[in-house]
Amino acid sequence: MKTIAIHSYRGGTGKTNIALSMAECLARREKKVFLVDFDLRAPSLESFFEYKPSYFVNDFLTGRCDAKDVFVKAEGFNDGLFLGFASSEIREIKEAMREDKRKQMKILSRILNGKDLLKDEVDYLIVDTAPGLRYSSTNVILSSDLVLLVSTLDKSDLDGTKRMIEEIHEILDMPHFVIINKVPEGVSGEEVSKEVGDKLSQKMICTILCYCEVMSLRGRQTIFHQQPEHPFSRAIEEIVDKIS
Amino acid sequence: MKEDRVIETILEKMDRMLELEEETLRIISREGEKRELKPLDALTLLDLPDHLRKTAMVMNKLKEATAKEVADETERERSIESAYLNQLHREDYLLKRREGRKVIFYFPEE
Repeated sequence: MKTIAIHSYRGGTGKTNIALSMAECLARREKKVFLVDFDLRAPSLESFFEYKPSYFVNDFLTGRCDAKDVFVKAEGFNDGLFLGFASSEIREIKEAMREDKRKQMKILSRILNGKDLLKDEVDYLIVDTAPGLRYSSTNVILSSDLVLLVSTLDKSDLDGTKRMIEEIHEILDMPHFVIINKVPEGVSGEEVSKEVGDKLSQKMICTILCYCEVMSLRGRQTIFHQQPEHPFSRAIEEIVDKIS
Repeated sequence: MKEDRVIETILEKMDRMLELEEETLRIISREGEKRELKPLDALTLLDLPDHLRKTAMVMNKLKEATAKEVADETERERSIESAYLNQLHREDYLLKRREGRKVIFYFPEE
């Protein structure tokens, strides 16, 4: 099983859209995939579906259920796609915001043991993390085999991504790649490389343009699911080719 | 096989010597019986040197283990893991106890 964390410095970079599209792409390639929403402060995967799960990721992390109890089979998708939702109840979000070190140590232990239980069940565990450097994202990064950092061309986003790479991923010697998303139309590849800088360019595996069609779905569906031939979908295929 | 056994015995004796050294140091420095353990949470792990982080991550998963059990996970030598576990113990991240010939490193039950 390969564990891939989808991470970013800031919110709104399109992490969830990319994570869900990648998960579907791998499932289409007959892989068994478990996509988990680990943005415990602002869950967003649920907006794409209308499920009422029996158990949330929060239940697993606090020991109220096992890792497999969180599995929800994605209907209308390929057979191999399973989802894990984070609870959007304010009580649970408040609980997730507690940054008590001993509690977070227990959570990291739950994640590491949960991964062990899943290793023979799925081929890919894709984790959509919370943006920035906080416990929920760091716990996942420490437990992953590969981190995909999604950034826009926004200067603060690029600077933050670079700092995170220098201060976390390089220190951990963690394999990582960068995806530049939402690139405005008309910006050339050369301009993107210049904006992104040498450090991030070396790790960049894909640039994705900003498509109105993606925005128009307003986080209710992915363009990958709707239009497999769309340039966004082809970019996802390209990413999956490189990481699988 | 006989050589392996001899090496294993030497390593066990070295572990015991290290323990005695620690106990002596503790008595000299008049440390209290109860030691407050520092948490090994994700952000603390990030600050640890690479070699200790790997051991600490495995301990975080296993909660209680011998150096051999940790070595099986990290795929490093048992003697190396024993040294790293003892270092984590000295730095108050782990507790340890002896059960016969085995030295068990652990986090306290909460």
